[in-house]
Amino acid sequence: MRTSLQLRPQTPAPSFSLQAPLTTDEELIARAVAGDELAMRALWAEHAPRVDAVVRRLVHDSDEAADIAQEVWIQIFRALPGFRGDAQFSTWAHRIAVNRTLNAVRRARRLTGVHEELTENTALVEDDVEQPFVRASITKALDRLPPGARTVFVLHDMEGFTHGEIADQLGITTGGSKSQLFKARARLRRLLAPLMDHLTTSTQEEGHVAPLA
Amino acid sequence: MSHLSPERIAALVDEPATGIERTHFEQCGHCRADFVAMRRIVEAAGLERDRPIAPLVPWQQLAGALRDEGLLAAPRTPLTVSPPPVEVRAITSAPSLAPARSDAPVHRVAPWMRVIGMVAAAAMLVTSGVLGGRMTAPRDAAQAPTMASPIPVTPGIPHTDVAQFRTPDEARTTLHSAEQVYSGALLWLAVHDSALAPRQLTGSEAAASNYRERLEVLDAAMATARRALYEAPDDPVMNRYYLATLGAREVTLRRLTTVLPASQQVLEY
Repeated sequence: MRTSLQLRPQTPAPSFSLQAPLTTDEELIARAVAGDELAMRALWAEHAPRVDAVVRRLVHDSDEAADIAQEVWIQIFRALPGFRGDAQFSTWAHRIAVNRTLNAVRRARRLTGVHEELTENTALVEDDVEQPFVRASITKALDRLPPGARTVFVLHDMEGFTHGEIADQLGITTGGSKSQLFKARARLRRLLAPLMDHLTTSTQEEGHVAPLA
Repeated sequence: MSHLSPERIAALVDEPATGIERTHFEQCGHCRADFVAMRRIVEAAGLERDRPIAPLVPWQQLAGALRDEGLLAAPRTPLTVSPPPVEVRAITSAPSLAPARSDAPVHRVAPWMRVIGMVAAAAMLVTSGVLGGRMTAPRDAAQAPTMASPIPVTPGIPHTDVAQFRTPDEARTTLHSAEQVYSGALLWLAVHDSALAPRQLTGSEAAASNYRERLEVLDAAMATARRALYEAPDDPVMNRYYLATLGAREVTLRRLTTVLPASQQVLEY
């Protein structure tokens, strides 16, 4: 279910109206590099919801994720003077978040379980047909994956990395990356079985079975 | 007929099927359904990439870490403080807080705009404070605190008179200290104040509704503050107002995420 926090029409309107555009990322970055705390905070407020989401997806433990998110933002502000604007700030920050998080995860030796067996086969979700619920269920199910499989799944299927990039990042082979991904998907399929089977049945009943790739 | 392994079906989301596998899929509804489900999972996972969450670390904590790293200056003075413009001082009859500086930034903003901005900020501050307070206060009016003045004097806490300040720096230092204490207290209350916990309200839906309403008020206030800051980026009132509103918004958002039912998430804010 989607919770959208939009302003209601009856909200009292500001008593004055300036039509000037809001401050851009470029202006904020220039001010942040100069040490303006307000600009730094504005950049963080704008981008933390997505940057921190990357960290949270890659790290199971919430306290550890918070520590790593802090490291990520320190790194972002440390590297900010070198940001040349070749990519969008959000893309640049996103990449730092992934790299920094993976480094932290490696430090914590969480990737030692990259080849561990997938075992549990428990239904996780209630029957529901809403797509947002599927997405939320996947996020919850990620916590049930072994760290290595979770990392590969997040990097490939959520962050869009190639197996070659994942292999470089994690120090494994592309075959190992693929193997972990397919195990992670299969595990998620089992965890989400009640929900996905309902959706699949509904689709088949409507005659919309998707063709193979 | 033996089915394809789940791992192989997972691989077929990215890789082409062999002829034998295609033939099998044509005959096996079980494997075909597995494949469809697998592909739905992968598609849904891709959509999750853009879903935001509440920041994992509050700004005050991050700012402290940034200061420790030397990436943020120590808060000796308030942010981007500059002397109030002459026009505003004259109209509001406020005492001069600082000598005029020849190198002070010149803002090409009409004096009336500054005044309107100040008045709007004050109005929004009072309005949002009252509205926010009402929205998060208990429904029982008898339990609600009475606010006789926008600046209440709390028993036990000394009231600082403007005459106590001898220099602008002294006033600024006091102001900044109060700001830090205010922010810290706000965050502390968000975490520890059981009186604000959702279980004290009529239910999680009522609590979520209260937080949503408060977020709406704070969003409106922030939008106003940002517009004003665009025109007068050095205005100390607007800077503090913006920061205070931002802090309150973060706290409210964090609280909202704690009371939403498991089936709901904050996707946009």
